[in-house]
Amino acid sequence: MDIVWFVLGGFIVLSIWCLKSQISKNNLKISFLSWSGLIIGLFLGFFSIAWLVTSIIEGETRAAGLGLLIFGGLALIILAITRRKIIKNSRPKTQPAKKNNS
Amino acid sequence: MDKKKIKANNSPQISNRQNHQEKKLNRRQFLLGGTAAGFSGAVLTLSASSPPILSSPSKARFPIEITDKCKRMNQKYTIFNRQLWDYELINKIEEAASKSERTSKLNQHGWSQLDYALSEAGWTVDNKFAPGSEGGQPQTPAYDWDEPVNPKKFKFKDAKDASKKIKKAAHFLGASLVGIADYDPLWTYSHLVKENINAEYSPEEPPQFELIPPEFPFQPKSVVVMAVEMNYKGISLSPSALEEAATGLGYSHMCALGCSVSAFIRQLGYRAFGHGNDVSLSIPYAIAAGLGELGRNGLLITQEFGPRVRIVKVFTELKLQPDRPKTFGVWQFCKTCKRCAQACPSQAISFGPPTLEGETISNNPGVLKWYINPEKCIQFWRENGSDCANCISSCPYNKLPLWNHKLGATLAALPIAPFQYFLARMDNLFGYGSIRNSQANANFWDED
Repeated sequence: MDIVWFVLGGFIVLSIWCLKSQISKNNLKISFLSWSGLIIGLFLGFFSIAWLVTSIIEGETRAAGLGLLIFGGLALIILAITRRKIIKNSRPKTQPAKKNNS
Repeated sequence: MDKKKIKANNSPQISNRQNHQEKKLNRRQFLLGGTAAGFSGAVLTLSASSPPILSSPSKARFPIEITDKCKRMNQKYTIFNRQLWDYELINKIEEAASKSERTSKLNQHGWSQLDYALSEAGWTVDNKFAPGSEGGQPQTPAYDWDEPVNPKKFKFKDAKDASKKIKKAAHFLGASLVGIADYDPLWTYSHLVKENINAEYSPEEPPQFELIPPEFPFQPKSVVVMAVEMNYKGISLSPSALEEAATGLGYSHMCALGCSVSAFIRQLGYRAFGHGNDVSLSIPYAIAAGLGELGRNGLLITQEFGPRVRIVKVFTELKLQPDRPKTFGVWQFCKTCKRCAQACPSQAISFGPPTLEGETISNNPGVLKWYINPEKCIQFWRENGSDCANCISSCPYNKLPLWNHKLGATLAALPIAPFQYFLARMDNLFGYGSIRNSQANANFWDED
């Protein structure tokens, strides 16, 4: 079980590093709401992995599957919505065309 | 905005500074968010790994309403002892036993020779050293009242020191949980049933027993209350011979623990004796000693193991510092959960609200609680051909000590009824506490 936490901790650090590099590489603009979505989504994702592994070790396969479905599914939905919002916010705003008064 | 300012704002140094400021701002947001997430995670982890932060160990008052109607119970009215004299009950049980599925289940998974051998093995120590104590027989060899005491009395610093040392010894000797309560005569049976267990009975002659007053060789001042954990896997296979094995092993552990802790106290120069189901009621003492709360299934619900414990007590003349009752949301949770009532095959557990009296003479009235119907319970035992622990197995508090279950227990302590209802339903949905089928019994011997 300790190894599980160790590996999970490694995944979390890796995810944060990837996220940070993506943000700086693509010059992403992330609002407070998007940050909340990212944190909640990632937390739920890691929660679902931890739940899955713990339930398998316990021998409760139904709990493992349902945990992955509910928590993992929720994480995917939140992250997908957050991703769309971030991309939308990060798109360069096109200048409105100037009126030709001639 | 004039052209000079526009030009200044669009210069490379300004745009770099702006970019730097934006990055700095994003980094600050990131750090803030990360710190908040880390702090929340730490709080959740700590609360998941330690007793729920909502438990109230300082509650001095007994957490269950006891009215003046509550009197000392005569042990002859317990469901086990009624089978010695209550012929109406005996006939009902005989009728249930005649419908017993036991013979038809022979060699099925959970009922094979292998499974029964394990059951017998689990009960062996109890059968040898405390025979009949599970039914209430007092003064069995392991639970003798009057053993020799060391004439040299050990001097403790104070009652608190004495409690600490006794608890340490109890844990060393195998107790899963230990608490101290003041002796309360209300929980001691008014009369004890001493059965002549060596008599050979015949249907023509009734079993021989006598009612004796609980006249102890000393006046108890304190009660060392101990809980022993029962095997999780075994209990989950209820009702079967494998579950009987877990129950029997629990009784055997009780016997060894009660005997050895009382011997420890006697070696320190103070009179003491242990007992299990005999002499006094276990659950009120366990609640008073802070081991847990009373559940809908009529059992002690502990934070660590749920109802999957057996309780053994040691009465002693040594004055110890008592612990305080503890609450962690069980009473409120049991109002909405009802998993045990749903899992009970004989419908012996109430679906309704707590009351002040039960349906049978085996229920001692005057305490506000959920009264079970022990007549229905025992009839199922006889019909099924084994004990039953469905109410223990199905309880949401009956879990292994893993982080996710500790988190669930912490959340269950929140006094929000709809949320507790949701948690109880989720527990069912996730398959926890489901009564195992014969395949699970078959897998028992093949699993690691």
